[in-house]
Order: sequence, then structure tokens, then C-alpha cells
Amino acid sequence: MYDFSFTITYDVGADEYTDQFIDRESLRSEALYACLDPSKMWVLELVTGDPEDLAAVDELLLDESLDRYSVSGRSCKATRQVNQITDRSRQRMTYTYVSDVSYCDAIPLIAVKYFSDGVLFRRTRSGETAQWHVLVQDDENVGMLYDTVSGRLADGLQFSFDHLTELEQWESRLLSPSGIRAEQREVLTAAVNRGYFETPREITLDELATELGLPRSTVSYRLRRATAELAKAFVDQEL
Amino acid sequence: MTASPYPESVLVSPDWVVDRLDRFESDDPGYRLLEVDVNTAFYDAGHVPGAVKIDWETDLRSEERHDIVGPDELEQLLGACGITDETTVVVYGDDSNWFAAHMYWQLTYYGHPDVRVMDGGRGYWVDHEYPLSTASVSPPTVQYGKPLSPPADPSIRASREDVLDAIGTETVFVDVRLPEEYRGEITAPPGMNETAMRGGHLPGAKNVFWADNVRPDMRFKPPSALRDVYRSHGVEPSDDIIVYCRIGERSSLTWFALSELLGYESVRNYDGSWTEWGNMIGTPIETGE
Repeated sequence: MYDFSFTITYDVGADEYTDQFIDRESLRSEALYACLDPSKMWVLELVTGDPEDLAAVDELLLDESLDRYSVSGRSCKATRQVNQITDRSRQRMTYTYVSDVSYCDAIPLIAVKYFSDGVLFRRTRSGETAQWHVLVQDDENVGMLYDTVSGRLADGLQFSFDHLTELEQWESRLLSPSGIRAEQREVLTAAVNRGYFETPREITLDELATELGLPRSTVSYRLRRATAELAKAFVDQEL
Repeated sequence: MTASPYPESVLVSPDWVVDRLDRFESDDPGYRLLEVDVNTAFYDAGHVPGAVKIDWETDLRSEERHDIVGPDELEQLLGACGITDETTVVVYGDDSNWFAAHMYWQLTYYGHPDVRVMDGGRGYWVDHEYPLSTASVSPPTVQYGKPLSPPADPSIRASREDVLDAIGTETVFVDVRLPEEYRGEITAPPGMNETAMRGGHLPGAKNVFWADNVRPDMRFKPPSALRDVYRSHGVEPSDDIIVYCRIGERSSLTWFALSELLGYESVRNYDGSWTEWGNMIGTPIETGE
């Protein structure tokens, strides 16, 4: 699989949605896009940030009339449905389904015309930039996509190429491999559900071990491994 | 759609084409429609009814001479597309008519009397739900009818010698590539072999991106807006202008805009472009902004 990566930089005032990210430094967004043909697209977007900054974008996130996707000077002619599927103080996740596309100059909908087998996309956004990763099986048409996308950008948007590489590693909040093994996950889930992490603890390690039918030392070890992996993964993602 | 501000003798609207589909689809060689895409796979997915497919890699280039197609080859190609020297030829294609403009430029260079570009190209046609067809199109082969050698209008083409001679003169170079190509950071699009040993631009060249010629819907900007694009970069109608890009196709679009739409007096397309200039020994090159 190849990763074709480029960055689009927005001038202030060029895009209403991006302006929020420019004004509010705590905001970060990561989205996965899938597109199988030029008539529809799915978007899973996770926006994180300080609670007051997130509250300020809530309305935009759910506004089906706002075109958050077009990179050209014209709005998409398509139907948009947006659902919020996570609403926490520091994160929102939305699921958007764009369908009945007559035209829409969203990166994925431009790209899928060059990759008829379908394409996956990851997009991260903070401040004035949106970085795109276009994930394709074959790099044959990447050059054409480069020329086409760069030629479609609206005034106030600048294109810069980052890389085209065979994908060897993947770091993503949305799809991060947690590194937790199945048996560790089972213990961790039981510990959370039974209140082991509450203050004060609602269950002791001995009681948890009994419930799970495992030796205390095994439960203790698996719990430590699982929390260690989570802590490391968290710090890695934050850096 | 409002009437085009440009003469129909060079630029026709999609409506103009759709009103004449029966003539384009007819065996009579009076009208022919040609689709020339960067991405040659697009045609097979659906094309304007009656449009003949042109493959820029094989039809518009001479592999042997590493040059644009020669006059004899072009006569053959046109004849095989059912085109005589009296045919009204309309070209269109993807990426806002990159290669359609390039073919227009080649036909004008060799002297086909009546060639026009369909405004907005393939993209506008598809987006606005004009009719598409997947039927194969092969009009009866004809004799083109007149020799295309020597080229009828050599004044629209610049060679490397012309470019070298123009450096340091009042001639204005217009580089239509992306800023990152102009600055010399990129010598070829990712994954493509249209590369050069060195990056950068012709000394003194102005960077006016090709897409600045067109509107978001891919049709050409109206005359005043188009003129403003060039005026804002200090390019005036009376200037002697040489345009170039990477392989001479995007610059054909800019040549078309300046020479055919705006009627600037002296505009040449340097079709050797950066794949030639950036690979030659000792040529003067500037990098950066």
C-alpha cells in the first residue's frame, strides 16, 4: 500500500470551518474517509480540544448545510447527513455520509476517479493546515491526482507535496493498534466494569481474580501490561 | 447559460455542442468531436456521444523523435478520425482541457483551419449531467486533404534556441506550474517519470499557475477577470510572451487563454518545457521565489 501525502494550507477567511481551527489552537481533527465511487463518501471525524473550543464548533460540526469538504471555489452539489456519535467534554466524533453527488470537489471524491478500486483517506487538521494521506494499492495514477488536486484549489488555499512512500508504519488515534493482547483486554474490561479503577476501589484484585477464575498473580500481571501499553501509546500519540 | 464572451470560432459552450450532437455523431465529416484526456481511462467510462478518443501519449507525440507528432503522422491521425481539412473540429478533455488545448495548439501550429475548444471540458460536461455514452466511436476514415507541412503558424511555438535568445530581453516568460515546481523543490509529480535533473525556472520567469485561467466549474474566466490575472503579474497584452510548464500541455492552456481568448499579440508555447530545459547541460536556471 502507498501513502501519498500532501498538505493544504488555508488563508484566514478562506474556509469557515478552518477558521475555527486557526482561532482555537487546542482544536485537532482526525478523519477517516472512504470512497468507492464518485457518487458517495463516508467520513468518520474525531475532533479534540479544550471543552470551550469544542463547544464553539459544535454547531458547525452538525450543520448539514455547511460544506466542510469542498477544496475548490464551488460548494458540493450533494446530500449530506451528519450524526454525532461521540460527545465528551474533550472530544466529538461525527459520522458523515455524503451521497447523491452531482459534483463535489472533496479530495476523496476527486481522487476516487483516479483509483477505480476505491481509496482510503486519512486527514489531520490543526491550525491553518490539513494534511492528507491518500492510501492506495497502486501508485500509478498518483501523479495525475497531484496535478488535478493542486489545480482545483480555491483562492486562499495552497498545496504542498509531502511524500509518496510505501506504507510501513501507521500512527493514528482512530485506528491505533493498542498493543493489548486479548487476554489482557479481558482482564482490563472486567476491571473497569467492576469498578477496580474507581476511587475508592469497588473491587479488590483478589475478588477480581476470583470472579475471573484466574490466579491473583496472573490478573495483576495482565492488568499491569495492559495499563503500561495504554500509557505508552497515549504518550506516543501526544508527542 | 449566458452567451459566451469569447468568439465561437475558438471556444464553444457545452450547450453549443449538445445542440449539434447529431452532426458530431454523423458519418459526414463536417463536424468531429475529440476527447483528449490526461487520464486516458476516463473516455472508456463515458464520453460525449460521437466523441473520438485521442490518446495523447501515442497520438500527439512522436516516440521516435521525442517531439510533438509530425505533419505526416498528424494527417494520418486526423484522417483516421474522419477529419478533413474542412471539418469543424471540437476538442475537450479532463483537467479543464489541458490536452484539448494542447491539441488545439498543435492543430493551429500545423494549420487546421477550424478547431475549437469546448469550454469546461470533460469535467463541466459530466458534472452538469450532459449526455454520456460508452458506445465505441469510429467514423469512416477519410483523406485529410491538404499537406500539413511546413507548419502553417510557426510563430506560436518556441524552441530552446528561442528561449535562450530571449533570456535577458524584454520577452516575458510565464511559468504555469505549481509554485513548488517553479521554486525548484519538485522536478516531477510523484510517481511520474516526467523528470528533470535540475529544478527551478527560466531566469526572470513569472509564475502564473495554469488553474488561474479557469473558474471553479472549469470554464474559462470571463475576459476582464482573465486579463486581471495576467495584469496582476505584470504581463501585458503587447508583451512578447513565452509560456511553458513541464511537458508543454498545461502551458498550451495558458497559450490558448492569452493568444486565442484574449488576443494577446505575441504568445509562444515552449513545448519542450521543463523536461527539456531542466535536463540540458549548463542552461541558466533560477530557483526560489
